[in-house]
Amino acid sequence: MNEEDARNRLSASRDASHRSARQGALGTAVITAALVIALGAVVDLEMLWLLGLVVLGFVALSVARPLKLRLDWSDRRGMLLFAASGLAVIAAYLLTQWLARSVGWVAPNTISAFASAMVIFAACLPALARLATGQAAVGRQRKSGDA
Amino acid sequence: MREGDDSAEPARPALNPLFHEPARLVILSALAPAEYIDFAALLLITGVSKSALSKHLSALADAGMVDVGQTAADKRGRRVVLTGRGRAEFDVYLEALEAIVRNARR
Repeated sequence: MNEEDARNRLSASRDASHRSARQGALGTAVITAALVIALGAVVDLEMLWLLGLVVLGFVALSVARPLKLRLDWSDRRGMLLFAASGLAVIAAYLLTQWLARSVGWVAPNTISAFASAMVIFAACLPALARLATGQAAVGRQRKSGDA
Repeated sequence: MREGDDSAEPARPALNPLFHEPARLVILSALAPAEYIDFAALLLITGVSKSALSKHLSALADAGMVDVGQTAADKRGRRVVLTGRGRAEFDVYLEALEAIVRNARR
């Protein structure tokens, strides 16, 4: 095999890995965003008795998802990105909650849940994809978990 | 190779011929960042036909590189998992490809 061929194969391999990681991260983000919005809506509608059903739905969706990522927690930059994205979700929730309450909007919890969901897609999704693909290095010992 | 021959190429690690097929390379690369992938999702990600995917997965499963099967949580679909051995051998294969590219740069 010559260099050109090896380079093309490596490129095809990286593309497929990134596609797969992106797809898995998207699935996880959709399920998490749905959970956050459902929790916000349940609290605003004062139907707390539905919480059990929401949690059950979340667990069922998590188990039935078609792709489960294998996360590389030894990737420090990826881990930092993921932690920062989690903090951004909380910050977005708190900020929108404060804004919604100070302006007097109805359903402040649902509105802030939507804001958090957007940050989940914008920040958590790429961080998850990064953690799944690692540093695109091979042959490394991975300290893996899942998402 | 003659002793003291400086122009000699560095030794290249052997490439597993099982992974030479481009579709298999894509399938294994898609499986690498995942704990498992359902057959239908793998079809979507790899873009190969259903019959081709079945054929390649059978060959990889026969060689012990992947596990294809139903689980308690997934009775209808087929979940595909890269085995520990498959993961290790695939890493070696990718390292060999990187070595070829590295050696050519020198």
